[in-house]
Amino acid sequence: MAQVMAAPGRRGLLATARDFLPAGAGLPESLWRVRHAAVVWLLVAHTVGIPLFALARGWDLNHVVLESLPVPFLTAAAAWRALSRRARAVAASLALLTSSAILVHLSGGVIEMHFHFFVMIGVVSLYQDWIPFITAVGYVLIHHGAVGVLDPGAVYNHQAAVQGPWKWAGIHAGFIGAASVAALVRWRLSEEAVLERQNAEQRLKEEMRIASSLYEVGTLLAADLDGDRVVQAVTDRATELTGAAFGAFFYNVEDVERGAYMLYTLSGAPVEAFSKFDLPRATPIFEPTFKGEGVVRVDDVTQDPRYGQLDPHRGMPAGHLPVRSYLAVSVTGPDGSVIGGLFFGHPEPGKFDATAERMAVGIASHAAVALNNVRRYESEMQARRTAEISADRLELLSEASRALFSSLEPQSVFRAVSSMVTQQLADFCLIDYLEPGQELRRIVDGEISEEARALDVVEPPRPGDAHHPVNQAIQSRQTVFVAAGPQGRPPAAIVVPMIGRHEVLGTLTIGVVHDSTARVTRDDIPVAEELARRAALAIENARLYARQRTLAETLQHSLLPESLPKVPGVDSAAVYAAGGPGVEVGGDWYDVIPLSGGRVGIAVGDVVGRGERAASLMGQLRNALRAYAFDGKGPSATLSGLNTLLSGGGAEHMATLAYGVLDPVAGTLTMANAGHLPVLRLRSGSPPEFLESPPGLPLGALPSSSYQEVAASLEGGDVVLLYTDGLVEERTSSIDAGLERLRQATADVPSDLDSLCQSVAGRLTGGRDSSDDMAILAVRLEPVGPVLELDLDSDPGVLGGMRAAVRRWLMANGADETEVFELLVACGEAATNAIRHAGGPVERQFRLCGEVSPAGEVVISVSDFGGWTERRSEVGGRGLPIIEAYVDRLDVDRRPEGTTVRLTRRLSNALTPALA
Amino acid sequence: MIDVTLDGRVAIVSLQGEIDMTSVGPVTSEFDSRIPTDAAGVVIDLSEVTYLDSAGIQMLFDLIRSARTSRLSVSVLVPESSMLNSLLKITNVEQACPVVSERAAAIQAAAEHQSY
Repeated sequence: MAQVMAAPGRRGLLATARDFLPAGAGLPESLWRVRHAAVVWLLVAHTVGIPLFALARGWDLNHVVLESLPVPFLTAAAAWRALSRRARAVAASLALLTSSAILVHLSGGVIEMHFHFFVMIGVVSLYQDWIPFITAVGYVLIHHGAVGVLDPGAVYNHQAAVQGPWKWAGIHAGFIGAASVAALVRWRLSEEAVLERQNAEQRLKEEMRIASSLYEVGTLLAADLDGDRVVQAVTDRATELTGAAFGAFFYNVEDVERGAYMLYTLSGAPVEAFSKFDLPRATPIFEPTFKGEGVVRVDDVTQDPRYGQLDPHRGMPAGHLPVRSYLAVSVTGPDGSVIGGLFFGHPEPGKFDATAERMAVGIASHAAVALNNVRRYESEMQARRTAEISADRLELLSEASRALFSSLEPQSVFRAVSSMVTQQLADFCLIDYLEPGQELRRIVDGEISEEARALDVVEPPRPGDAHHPVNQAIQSRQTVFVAAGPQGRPPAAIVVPMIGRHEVLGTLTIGVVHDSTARVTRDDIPVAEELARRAALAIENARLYARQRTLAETLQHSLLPESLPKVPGVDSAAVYAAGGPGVEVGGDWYDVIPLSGGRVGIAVGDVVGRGERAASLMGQLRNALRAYAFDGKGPSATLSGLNTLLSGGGAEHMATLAYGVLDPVAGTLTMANAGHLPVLRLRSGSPPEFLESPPGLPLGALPSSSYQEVAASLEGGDVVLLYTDGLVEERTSSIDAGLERLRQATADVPSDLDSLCQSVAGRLTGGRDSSDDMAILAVRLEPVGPVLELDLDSDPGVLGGMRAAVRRWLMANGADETEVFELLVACGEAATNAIRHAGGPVERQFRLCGEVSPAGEVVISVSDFGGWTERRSEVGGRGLPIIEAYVDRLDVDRRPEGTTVRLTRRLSNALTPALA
Repeated sequence: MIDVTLDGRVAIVSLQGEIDMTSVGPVTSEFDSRIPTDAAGVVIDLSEVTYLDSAGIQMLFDLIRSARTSRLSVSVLVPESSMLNSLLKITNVEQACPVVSERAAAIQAAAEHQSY
């Protein structure tokens, strides 16, 4: 008994004592009845025995009758069934002890007669109930004390006791106590025996429950040959029988067309609860199950050392159902291969015991057998289906499979089916398909002649028209054969439902018009069905792919800049495309960073690998690059910093990166390169040229790499093109060939940068399924003309870029250093004012225009579109004298729609506009 | 953006690049935190400044006032050739503290001049 084994520890004395006493849980009904009956018979014997004993002792008849009355009276109470069990036991107890008292009394207190008490105490203990027991012991004490005082001779037969009745009552009670202890020990031992038997019964029942549950599951599964139903039944029953809150069955599927992949069913949780997660990965907690290394049962998985080992989630991903209790068993096939795994969870810890584990293991073995049956059955059915199809049709089918699975776009899958049908089987082909959440759409291939119109299938089905063959086929999931000619002669058509894994995707209709061209007959129904089955698989495949690919692109785009920043004098555009066939996120990225002094940082990089890890590394790199760049670090120092950041992260933490700082005023691009492809410069009038810079090691390759800076000159109108290897890499040719193709493709490109990027991407990757991600960033240094026009956001951040653009323009128009500085300060004052006083939230922009008059005067106007008030329109206190000192003329033109500040200054050495 | 070197008990604070309304905040907070507590004077060195406008002039006055409050004497160093000279003249910076074109003179001014 667990209670006895438990160390008393610091528990109270009372509690410890209680451990050694009987529990007094009461007897099972049947046992109690047997014992009570024995006691009642004993009392009946006493009822008879007492008067006989009294007569034998020579008592007078009155006395005999009086002494004989109490016992039968109490015996009757004990035997009375209307009373509760305990009341009857108490009555019996009183009767037994009263018998003893009367016998002692009748004997005149003979000491030997006291033995009767001891026997009776033993008998009372048969009830294994504290109330009758205590009643009995109390009875002895009170009887000895009370009667001993009132009539000592009735209890005791020796002088000492007669003179000190309470003392002797105590002595008697001591012996009674000893007898009671002996009875208690027996009682306690009896209880343990009963308990043990109950436990054994319980265990036996549990065993039977497990065995019968498993038997039930086994028969249920063995009778089912539908794979989907089997796995769902396995999941449901296992979840129920293990007492899990939810369960999942992940299992591998082999398919001729699709290869191996993994599916799952759920129980106790809606599919949506898991739809946003990837399949479980080979983490330390999952791996043993998928490797078939045995059961994993954990009372609290969050405390398990194997838990939370792997990035990026380190435990359950956010939004996962809460799991504390965790149980997982492998489902292993007859050949020892792992078919899948059953996983159970419960939000509270310690929910799975050994029984749950045995249930899970048992169900797993049944599941393995059932799934094996399903597979054998399915392959047999497949064999039977193909046996019905003649050899040339088989060839057609295998050709169809190749065509179907060569595309991952649903529309081209449909086109592949319909053109195959019309070329090789029939006169026309109709495909009615259901887009999720939409009505049926139809694709028509081949010629629909007048004769064909006799077939009601040719008219597109209306929703709810139950008689239309297409709707019939979808509803019944059965092939429908329709014919307009006599005895099933043409015009005729086979309408086959395309049944996917979960739903009907539409119908495939194969139709013939003339007898002469009748290549399709009823005999071809198996071919049509097989074709429809394969088309359904291919379409589901394509839809799944499209969905996952969209997801990957969304994630990637969320990590790239939403829009490129506008920097005066520098234009930029970018394209990014996720590669196929994988659907994982790639690590390509680009960035444009406005720096101080109107300079611009431009970067394109590629993180090694794919998936979440690559994407998160890319995010970190981008942030770190921005931090270094804002800090004023040059390209070389920036790359060294990023390299240090990545080093020590292991082989998976590598990235290539080209980073440059474009200085519009100096007309330079200063580049450093960490293992990335060279930057291409496009200049009108000369061929595209790669700006070779010493290629450093990729970031993260060696702890202390250094990167050389190389400056290239840029003229107004020059475009620099940064890109990732997805643009130029092809499996069939070398990188050099790819770079050469890029050079040729950019020899003649549109001037609009967005179109330029699209055009370059199209020319290099068009027509092939790009296997890698691809990013292109194009940046142009705007040419300086005689007229300067800048539209700027009302944000102090634009001032640096604005000054750089104005500086370039002034220098190009012949301003000297002092003139440039002073006009810049004057412009800056005017622009600062425009920003401070710009109007409402809609028109948060201002415009700066500059031109040089034929007389050699520079005129710069700064216009805002805010409704200034008279007071606010003052150019700031210290600003005005500065402007006035630095220009020849200052005009302020206030209008309701905005204010224009015009600055005029003659240049000492202006280049005439004609020359500029 | 800001560089602090010491010459005796004079801190030479060198500002760099373009100073407009976007850079006055960072410069001011760095200025306050990077002057050593035992410094007696400060030279605000504008040799490397390529652009300064009214927001920068306002900052200069603030820096001078803040230094004064900390009982530091201040001078501004601007080389003869700097474009900034005209700007400082227009805005009368020299009425707030000595504007000096030589480094040694600027340090001396910051060490001695206490009477503004």
